[in-house]
Amino acid sequence: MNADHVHNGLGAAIKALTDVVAPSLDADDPLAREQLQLVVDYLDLVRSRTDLLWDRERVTLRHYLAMAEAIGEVPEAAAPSLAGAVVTGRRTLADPEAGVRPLRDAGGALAAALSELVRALGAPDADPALRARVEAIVVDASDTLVEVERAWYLPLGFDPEPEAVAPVEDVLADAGAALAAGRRPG
Amino acid sequence: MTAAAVDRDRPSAAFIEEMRRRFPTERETDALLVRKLRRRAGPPYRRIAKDELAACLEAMLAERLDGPFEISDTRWFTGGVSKIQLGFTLAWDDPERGPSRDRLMVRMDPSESLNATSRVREAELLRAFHGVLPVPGVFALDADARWFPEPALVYAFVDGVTKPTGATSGKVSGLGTNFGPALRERLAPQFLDHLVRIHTFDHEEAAFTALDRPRAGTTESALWQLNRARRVWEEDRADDLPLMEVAANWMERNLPATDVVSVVHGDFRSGNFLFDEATGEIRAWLDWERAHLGDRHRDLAWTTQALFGHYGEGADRGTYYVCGLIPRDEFFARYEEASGLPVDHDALAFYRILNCYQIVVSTLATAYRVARLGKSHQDILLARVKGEVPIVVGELRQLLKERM
Repeated sequence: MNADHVHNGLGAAIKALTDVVAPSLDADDPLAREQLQLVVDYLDLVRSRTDLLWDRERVTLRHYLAMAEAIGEVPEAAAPSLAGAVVTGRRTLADPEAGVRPLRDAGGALAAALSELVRALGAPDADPALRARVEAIVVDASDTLVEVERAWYLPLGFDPEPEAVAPVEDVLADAGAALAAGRRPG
Repeated sequence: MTAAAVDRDRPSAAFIEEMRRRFPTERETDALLVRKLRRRAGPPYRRIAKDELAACLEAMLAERLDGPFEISDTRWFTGGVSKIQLGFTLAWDDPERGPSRDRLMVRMDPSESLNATSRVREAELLRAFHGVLPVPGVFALDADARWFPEPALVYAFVDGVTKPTGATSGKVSGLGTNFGPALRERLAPQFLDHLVRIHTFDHEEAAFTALDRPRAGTTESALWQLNRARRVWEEDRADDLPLMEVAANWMERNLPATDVVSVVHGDFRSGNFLFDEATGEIRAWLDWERAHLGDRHRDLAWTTQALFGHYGEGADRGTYYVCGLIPRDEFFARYEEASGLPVDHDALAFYRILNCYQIVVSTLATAYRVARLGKSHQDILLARVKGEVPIVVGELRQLLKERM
């Protein structure tokens, strides 16, 4: 079994900043002290998430793919890059060798194509029925990514209802399974 | 255009002009956003030493003050995400009071800020509200960065805290502060009274040069604010988020007319006032940089934003406190009674959506861009505010769902 040296290294960095650097800071420099704590908190967040980066990007890609598939076919003029982004997204998701970067790029391309579509449908001469349908799908589907991201960033302490957020591992697993099965998570 | 289609780290002149054409807004805001983009390809922010900033201050005061003066006790202040703040003591000969010692603050932009805002506007608002509300007195303004590296404002230092000492809640920027029952009781009536005073202030008599006045009975104010937010989204983002485009479409279709033009503070919430912990007296309202003339519902929606308040504890668990101070159910009724101004729930819904949209613009787009380019003194804090994004996007989604 290989040890996790990234996790170990980040832990050592946090300890050095907390035990060695923090006490040596100028007492007359509150910004430095505040920022050191923010750095420690951020490293701690990253340390708790390194094993989950791949799962997160896969869920994000699945999320946008599901959104695009729910929308279905649309006039090419309104979304010239959507069909290609869907093909690339499906291929990337089906590739077990695809790492974090290609997954992220494929998800980003889908988000861009979907955004382009929504923008185009906002034009005064766009089909109002299609616009209403697409907008409703985007709003409805967006909760999956919201829940994943809430769980991801929970340790930073911004969430007004932290007790309502499940552990990030569970949220990712639930969202991934639900999206793969074509149903809503939760 | 998609996030990847434009080099936002080095925006072209054509891109800048396109933003101006597509999203017309207030003249001062337009000038600030153009300045931001033109300077973007410049070097990252370099931390300025206290002595360097004190030297800038000395140069400015040497031209502004008659007679000798001495600057001492310079010290950094944190608080706030977007501006650099240095406190100091000035010994000088005030023509009115004679020999004086005043505690003052320098408030200066970093190279690029979370908010491209105007020190001129901030100074005009502080001067206008002197004697109307507790605000710090303006001492000097360097509008064009003649003495300081960036535009700067010098104003009176005010004693006080933004949250109770030892508060367990309340994050770096003062969001979600839990004041506890005793302080809440003292602070809440002042908080509401001050909001009412801002919205009922007679701005027709004020000599504002950095604020444009929208016409009452039109959608002009809503459109300027929407255009500002959409423009910054286009200028700063690195991500695409389809929900943001749905929100923009919906807002464009549902611009509300402003019934009464008011001064809008723009960031009226806990964390932006200083109070005396012993007496519970509000000593100063800060952060007027987002103030404008427009629709009071913008403030009402902002103040009641979910990020800024919290739920009660124990038996009070079901009560949501606006800015940690006033139960949400009471807030609007008490405001209407005190101000004589109605709360229009359609206008409120629009500005709730706009505010969520604007917070996502700041926390997802601008914070990323500024931190990526190392443009501020608070890059690590800006990287961290990504944690706010899902909460606000969730709220935005819910608000749209209710209205579509």
